[in-house]
Amino acid sequence: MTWKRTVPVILVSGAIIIGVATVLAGLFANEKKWDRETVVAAAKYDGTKLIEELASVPEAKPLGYLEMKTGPLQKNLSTRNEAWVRWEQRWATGTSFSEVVDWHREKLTGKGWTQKNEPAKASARFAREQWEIVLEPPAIKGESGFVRRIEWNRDFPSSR
Amino acid sequence: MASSTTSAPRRESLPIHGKLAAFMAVFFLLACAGLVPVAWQAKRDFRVARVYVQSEAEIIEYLPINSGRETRFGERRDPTVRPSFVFRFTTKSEQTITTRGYDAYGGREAPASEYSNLKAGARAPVWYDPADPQQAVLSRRFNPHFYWVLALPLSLMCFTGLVFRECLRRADPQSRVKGMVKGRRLAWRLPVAASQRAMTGCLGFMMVISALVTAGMWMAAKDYQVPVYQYRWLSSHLGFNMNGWWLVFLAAAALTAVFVWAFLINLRWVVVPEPIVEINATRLRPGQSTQLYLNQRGPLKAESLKVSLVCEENGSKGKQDLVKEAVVSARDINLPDNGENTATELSADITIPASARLSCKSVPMSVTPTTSQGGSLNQQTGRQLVSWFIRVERRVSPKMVLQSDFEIVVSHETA
Repeated sequence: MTWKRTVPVILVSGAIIIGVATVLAGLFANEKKWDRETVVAAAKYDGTKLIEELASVPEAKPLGYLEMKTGPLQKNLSTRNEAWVRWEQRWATGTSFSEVVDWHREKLTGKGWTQKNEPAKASARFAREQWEIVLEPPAIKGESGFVRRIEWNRDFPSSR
Repeated sequence: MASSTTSAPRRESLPIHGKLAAFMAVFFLLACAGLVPVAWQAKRDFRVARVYVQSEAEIIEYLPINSGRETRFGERRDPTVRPSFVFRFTTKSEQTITTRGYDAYGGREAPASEYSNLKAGARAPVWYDPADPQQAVLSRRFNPHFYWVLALPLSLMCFTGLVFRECLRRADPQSRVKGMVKGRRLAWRLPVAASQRAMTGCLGFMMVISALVTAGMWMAAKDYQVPVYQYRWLSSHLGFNMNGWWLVFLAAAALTAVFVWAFLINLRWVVVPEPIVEINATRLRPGQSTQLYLNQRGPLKAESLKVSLVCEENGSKGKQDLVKEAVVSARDINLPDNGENTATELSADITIPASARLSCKSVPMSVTPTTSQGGSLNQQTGRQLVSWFIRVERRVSPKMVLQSDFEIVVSHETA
């Protein structure tokens, strides 16, 4: 086969291969996007319900807005299977931090949640499947209030 | 002429082959690939209708699929919105499934009235595939007009397949006429190649096919009888959305009406028997003469009956008569019944012109060339296919002529 014939064959074959690869890559990316949107929508729905359940912390008042973040922020091939949703809320309270933790424990135990406190840290952590609730005491000693962070992560519980 | 009869038999290819065959083969395969999504959809439709199991879903979120194209200024042109819901349900095996979808068609052409009541938190029936519960639908709607998509790959397959088949054929000197039997008056009785009855049968077949297509269009049009936001002007008078299918239905109905009319017009002449044509030679050389006998039975009332010798050429230039010679004719034929004694009989001599082109037909490439046929194609200036006929025309009314063709073979070999 001469170059005169080989070059068009290579060009046409290359164009077909690139076209097919582009279509397949598009389908793959779309499938991943579809999958992520589905799990994130379900997590938001469940998270909203959970937040409603835990809204009435005794003698506590939410400060500012409930902050919600979803990720990953950089959506690419390396993060194709990642998905998380995080809610964070600061609270002002008249009770002590340990009383707040006790209230949450009472609310959550019996519903599949387990408390997993790390000895070195003052924060309290509750976990269930892909969910985690972290209660953090104020950074400055003597101040009242706490920060509650609720997180759903597709990688949980494997990463814990 | 003499040199042509002694030369070795040659075969000529039709003008289309090679590259075009490869081109058509590629498009044929692409059309075959087009059947795959339709087959996949058919399988899904079957499973949704017969295999999927019902449960109850909790709607989590409405996530519509927006399509269309975006302009430079961020506007969306030709926007279409397809419904899609994230929902959760429990299978019979107590497995909780969260998935996304709406129906078996990805929400395409789903009537808004069907899904507008589904809100987050609502409960709705769901059907899931027990083999793969992630495959679940909130609507078991069957969309028959989706299958009109089949027309595209099938028509492309037919077209490319036929062209491909023709590419693998070549012109070949014709040696004999199939279906020829011994005659009563002369040596051979010719089979009818194209007749009034066959044409009426074709029209009847086309009429049935057209009626079936019309019925399909009607069903598709009925399927669209749902309220929509924007009626077209005709739809607003009718009270339902036509979405174009009623126009297609009306066009198909008009075509069916034409076929019915043509069929009924021709049906009247089905009772007229085909004439019997006999000749003394199965193959005729250019310049050769032979006897011809025609027997036409009744019932038939015709202004005239004409027998002609016709040579037609089929090729890239289209179909045209190279020779049309009246051989014999008769006037005022009145045959009240089918009795043998009342038949019209005509006899004549026919002479193939000395410069006649030889009969040449298209045959598959795979046929092994034989040398027994003899003859040559030297006389043929092009690569066209050549057919010879005895044509019998019966004028039954000023506008209606019943035509029957009887094929004969012109070659250098005699029989």
